[in-house]
Amino acid sequence: MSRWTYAIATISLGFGILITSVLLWAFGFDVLALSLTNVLAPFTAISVGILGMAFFGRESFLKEDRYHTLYAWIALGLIFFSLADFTTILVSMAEDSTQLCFTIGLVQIPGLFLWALGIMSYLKSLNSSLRLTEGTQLWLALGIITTLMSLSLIVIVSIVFPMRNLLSTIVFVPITIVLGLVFFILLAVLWIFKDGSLAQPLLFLLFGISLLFFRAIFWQIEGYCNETAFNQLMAIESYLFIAVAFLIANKIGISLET
Amino acid sequence: MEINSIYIIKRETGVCLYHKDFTESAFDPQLLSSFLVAMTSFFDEATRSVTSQARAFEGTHYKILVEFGNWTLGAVSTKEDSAFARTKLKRLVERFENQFNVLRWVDIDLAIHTRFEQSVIEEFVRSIIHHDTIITVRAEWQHFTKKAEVVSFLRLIPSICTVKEAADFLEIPLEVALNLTAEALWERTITIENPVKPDDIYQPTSITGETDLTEPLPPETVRTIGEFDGETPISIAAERLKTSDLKRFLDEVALLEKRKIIELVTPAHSIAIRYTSALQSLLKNCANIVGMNVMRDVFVRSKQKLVETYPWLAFVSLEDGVDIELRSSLTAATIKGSISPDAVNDGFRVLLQFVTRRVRDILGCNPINKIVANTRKEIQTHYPSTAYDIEWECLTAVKSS
Repeated sequence: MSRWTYAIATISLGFGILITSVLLWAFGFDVLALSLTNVLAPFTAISVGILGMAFFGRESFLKEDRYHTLYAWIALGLIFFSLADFTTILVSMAEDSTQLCFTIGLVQIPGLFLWALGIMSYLKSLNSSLRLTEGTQLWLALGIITTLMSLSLIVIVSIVFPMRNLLSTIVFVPITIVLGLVFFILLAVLWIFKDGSLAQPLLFLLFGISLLFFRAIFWQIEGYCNETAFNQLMAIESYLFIAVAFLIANKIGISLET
Repeated sequence: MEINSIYIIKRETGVCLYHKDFTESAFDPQLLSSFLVAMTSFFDEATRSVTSQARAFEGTHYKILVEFGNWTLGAVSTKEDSAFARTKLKRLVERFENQFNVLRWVDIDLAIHTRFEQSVIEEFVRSIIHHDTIITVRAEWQHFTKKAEVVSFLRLIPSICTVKEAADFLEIPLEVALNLTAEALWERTITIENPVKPDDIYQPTSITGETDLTEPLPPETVRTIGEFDGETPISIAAERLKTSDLKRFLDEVALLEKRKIIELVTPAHSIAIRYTSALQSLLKNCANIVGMNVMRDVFVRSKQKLVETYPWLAFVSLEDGVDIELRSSLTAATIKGSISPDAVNDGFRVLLQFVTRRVRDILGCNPINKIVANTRKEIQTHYPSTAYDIEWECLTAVKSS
């Protein structure tokens, strides 16, 4: 089967899960929908993570291949995200979830750190070939923007939502900002390669990360660790989009045959 | 000049129709033409061959290369047999046969020496003159020429200057100055010297026992010898040795060359090395974005498409990652000059084009054009004078409709 057959099968699986969850919710089976998504999210994350490592692990770390490294870091990040999703199952079972909510955020940070590391390394590699900027200006600018925006948003959220747990805010705001940073960098990279076939996996990666980013924005508005099927459904769909990106990226050179 | 003398001989009669000596120690033209016709006829008879088989006759310090036309044969006396010299000779024979075709049937005076002069200048003289060639006007040069354009050129320029300086001084286009210099050299009114350039690639000389060792070499000059491996341009050798004064380093190289310790590699080898650097830099820059496997795949597919047209490309392969390796058989062929520079140039140019076209499909037009531009800049730093010999504009990708 070609890479697109696998990709279409994965997208269909995503649609299947989405429709099933919506139908369960529509017919009043909220708890069942929540349980289903709670169980599926960590298993999807770990499966896609392992798939990514199998595709890109060997080439990336042994041969210092930056393209493979990007996807390998994302795969490794997904494995950490699966831990966060397992924690979510614990939250849904616990009575007082304030401390566990903080823990979920904390567990997500290493995964997100790996994603940021992967995308920044790729950006650096891209810059060494395309020479978009000289020196360290870009890295300095990205560092300052991330720090300032995180601090500003923590202050704003603390003022607008004074009842929220401050520790959770301190953890979840940087998550949103870093996801946003990764999202916009990917958008820029996608724009650079918009005419080439390299844009295909990047587009699906962007879809996947955009879902997590919008979920993080939603958390900032609606509150952290809401026990809804929507949260986990967004995560599952995001992981499946990333899986599609892995499938296409793994065989990017195949289009050369034609 | 690598050519000592040139002869065009009528095959049927063995009469030398045209000859030109660039040195004082040339053969008697009629004697040589009789010898060559007799020898080639002998080989043809001995081997019962329809087409002539003889290719070269070798002496201690010279080789006489032979190329056959339809009714003439061309011969050059040179130091080394090379595809480069043969291509030029072949072209010259073709031009002669076209221009003086009537001589095949009748013997008449067509003022061959005057009328064919320009063709020989174009093939053998003009090609060794560059914009940075140093011209030294000979003393009493007025006795050697009566050509008005050469006289007026030499009267006005300084006695020692480069061609570019002469062009600037006379406010004439560089191309005109290059042609006038070629004519002045032809008339033996000037001597020329091509300075050592940072692009030049040197190798240890194969000549032994002729080096004048009466004056010992300075230790810092001796230190540099190891860097000339026939693959490294002077600019990179200077970087490796952490040389701060490039001009002084170039002088040291010139001294080593004068002592015949090192010699310039053949044009074909120089082109192969330059293109290899360009190709490797391009592959590396692309691999940073799409990964090594894809670029290896792009390289192999592009090469496979071209091997039929350029069989020698089969000897260009990839080591680990995207490092280009020229196999020893190809390196030997380029060093010996048994493959012509034009063939090497064409093959690598098309290979680069195929690679960029394929990468364009993956990255899109703008990124590949940017990578090509950056690669050009990289190559320019190590090959400042010859980087533009690579046809970069052919590599520019345009959006396919």
